Amino acid sequence: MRPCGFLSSVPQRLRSRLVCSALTMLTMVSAASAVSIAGDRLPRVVSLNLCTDLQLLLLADPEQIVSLTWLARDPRSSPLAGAAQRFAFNRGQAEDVLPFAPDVVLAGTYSTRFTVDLLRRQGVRVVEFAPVTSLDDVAQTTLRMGAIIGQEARAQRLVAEFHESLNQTAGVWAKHSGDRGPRNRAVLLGAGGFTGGADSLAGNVLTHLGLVDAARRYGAKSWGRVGLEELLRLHPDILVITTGSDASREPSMAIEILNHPALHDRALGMRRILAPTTYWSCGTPLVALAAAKLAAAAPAAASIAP
Amino acid sequence: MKPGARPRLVWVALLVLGLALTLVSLLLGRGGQWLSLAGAASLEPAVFQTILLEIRLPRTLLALLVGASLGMAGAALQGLLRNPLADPGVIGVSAGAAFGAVLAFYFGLSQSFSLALPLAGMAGAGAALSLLFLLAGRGASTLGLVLAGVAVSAFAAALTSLALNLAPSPFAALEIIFWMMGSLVDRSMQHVGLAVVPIVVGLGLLMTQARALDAMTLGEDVAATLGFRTAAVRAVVLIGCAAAVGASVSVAGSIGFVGLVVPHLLRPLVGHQPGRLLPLSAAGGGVMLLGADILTRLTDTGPELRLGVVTALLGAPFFLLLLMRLRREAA
Amino acid sequence: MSAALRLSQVSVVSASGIRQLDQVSLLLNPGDLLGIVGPNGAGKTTLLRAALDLVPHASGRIEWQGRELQTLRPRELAKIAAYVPQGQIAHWPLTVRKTVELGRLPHSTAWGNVADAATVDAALAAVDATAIADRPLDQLSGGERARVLLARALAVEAPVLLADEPVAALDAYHQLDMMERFRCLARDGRAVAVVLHDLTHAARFCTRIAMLSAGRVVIDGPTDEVLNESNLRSVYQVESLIGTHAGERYVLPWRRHR
Repeated sequence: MRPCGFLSSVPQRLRSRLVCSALTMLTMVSAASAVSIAGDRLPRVVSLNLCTDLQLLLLADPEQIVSLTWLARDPRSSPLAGAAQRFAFNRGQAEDVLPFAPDVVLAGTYSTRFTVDLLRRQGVRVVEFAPVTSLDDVAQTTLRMGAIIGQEARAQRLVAEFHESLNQTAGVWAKHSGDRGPRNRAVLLGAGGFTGGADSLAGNVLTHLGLVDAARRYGAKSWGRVGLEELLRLHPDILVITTGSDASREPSMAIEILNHPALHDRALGMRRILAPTTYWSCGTPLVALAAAKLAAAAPAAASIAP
Repeated sequence: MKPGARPRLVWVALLVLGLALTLVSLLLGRGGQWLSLAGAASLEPAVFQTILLEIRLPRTLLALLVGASLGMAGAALQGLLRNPLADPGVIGVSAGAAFGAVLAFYFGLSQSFSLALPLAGMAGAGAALSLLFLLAGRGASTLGLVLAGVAVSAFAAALTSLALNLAPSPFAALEIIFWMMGSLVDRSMQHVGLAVVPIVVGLGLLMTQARALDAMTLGEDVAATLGFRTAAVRAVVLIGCAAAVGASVSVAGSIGFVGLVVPHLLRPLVGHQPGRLLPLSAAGGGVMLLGADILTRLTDTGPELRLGVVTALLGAPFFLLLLMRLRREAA
Repeated sequence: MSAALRLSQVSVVSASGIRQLDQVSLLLNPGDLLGIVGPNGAGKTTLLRAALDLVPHASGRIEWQGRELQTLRPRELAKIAAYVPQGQIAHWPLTVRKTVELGRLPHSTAWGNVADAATVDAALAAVDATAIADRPLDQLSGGERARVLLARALAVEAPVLLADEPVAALDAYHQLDMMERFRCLARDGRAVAVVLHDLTHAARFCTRIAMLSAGRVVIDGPTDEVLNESNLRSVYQVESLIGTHAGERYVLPWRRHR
């Protein structure tokens, strides 16, 4: 298998055929950018939010990045931790920003309220990004980010690749399960029994893959919690476990739920698919990788049909 | 020992410590890095000035103000309720302020204008105080007051949990949780301006009751026959605490243990006199919170420690030691 | 000259509707050591608390030095009457001197100096507490504490002193010590009213007795006229032995009346 370049931090097991095509796309984009810069100096950027960190790593020239949050370099939260190591890091405070006089500061709408207010009063340009909750938003947010940091062309190419990658995985589960009956009812399960509904980004990905959101009946639209009993009553075919980068190593309530004997009942036949949260907790084109990973599990699921 | 000599020494020590910590707070940044105009970590003069005057100065002032509020409010409530375990949390005002601020998060007000958060916090503190007066009434006993405070506190905490429970997104929930741990990061002079009036008024009101709290040492009946209207004393102390603590929680989040530990620690130094304990607890609270805030900056990697977490980490073991010592003395 | 304290037809009704005092009339003059006696629940404590406006009275008239209670500001009343409540405890272990200084509060301004050293010294000396002035309250014996709390009341320099069961928790020696101090205070011209359970103390030290029963003053008069077998039988339901020793009367409740 050939190495996938820029995103070398992506775990080996993710480098399936589909994944690699997506990674190649990202690598190409990044490499091409080095020569495309001309004219005015591109804006120098500080990011105060993990999700804008990831967008910057995908879109910006290294010279543009003044600093990223400390979360970006932690593999437990960041899928691009390896690539983030080379950049300075901040802890989301005004003192991390002012000495460097960046052109733009990127922040999330929920985080670091006081810092954003203070920076604005100091005349710093702060752009806020709301959490992305759908695949359409991913493309829009990426293009918006590209415009802000002067990388419109790269953003457009990345979005095109993103859509192409998504096209390859669209409805994969529906195709595989269609003639053998409804074997594609899925429930998302995250830390603390958190579940994402159809209106969440993760739920969007499931729908895109042709999976049926079993929790919709339960009433979880954007996000909520699902208990063990509800889970058994919903009786999904697939549990999409979205906890951490490696579910076996991260202790959490979700893992506790998964260890419950009731869920191990063979008669239930619930299949588990691990989908590392890091890839779809933020609305970046990396979500395509999460979709690819889930799509890759589809044929195997079809083969254990009754 | 000559009475009066020790408190004066304590005052001098607190003032010196306070000044030293103020200087450290102005100049020390994350990871123990000093602010400087020269050397490897040098800054442009304009940036230096901005960081010093617009970030560190309000942060330092707020630490002193908030610490003073919590310290004196704790001392005043312990004096009023004649119970060394009382702290600003008992009357439910902190929980009310926290709930008000959480509502601002919940409805996204905190994003639409920058002072929504502290203003909502103060509104919450006011609502909690009104509820307390409604429940406890004018003639209620001390026990009635404490019970009403516990009820208000529990109710506000329940509403806060409800807001968390129904939070529009996990990000909002996380932000609420973080805010409730208390912090002074990146507050501005605007926040100082907003908090300083209610805090100064609140502390001033408490100081007017110093003599009455002394009289309360011998119980409410004796205090009344010494010429104090006990219902009015109670009302003024509660309003003073609500103003000072409500404003504090509104700008800094929930910070525990300062109001409990500081009066406890300083009480023997003023011969257990509730009135003289008030100003000393304000000074002690300011110094303690400033010290705790400096501690939050010392870690270099990972998230910055939250102020409320540091005060609790320092306060709880310390408090245990104190209780153990008291019990040994009593035995 | 008007009486130090005059109660006319005073009634107190509790929040739950119980009539705790019923049309009580009473007079306390300078130089009096008035003993307020009566069985448990008769209303002795309520009488003192009503006089001091610690509980509201439903009807009747209370006058301090000829002035109606409602027209007196708390601080004015505080300068007229000092109060030693029943089973008084100090919630913080102040030193003896600081405790006695609290008695100067009615005379102090909000920021002025509380400690009027000469008065405080005199109050301490009056109860022989000068030597323990710097000890904290929680290191005193019961007798010492009772004396210090009396000194606190004396430091007010009020012409009237009301004490509720001031000797209840003391041993025989300290009971006699306290009663002698009250007698001295009255002889010095103060008006003193003391709630008592010990009828011999009442008989020996008090100049007048008010005997209460079920919220009413049953008998009020000179000690010798009030404390007799028939009154004790009807009010306390006890048979008493009453005798004299060295010209003073003692009263010994002997057995329950059948």
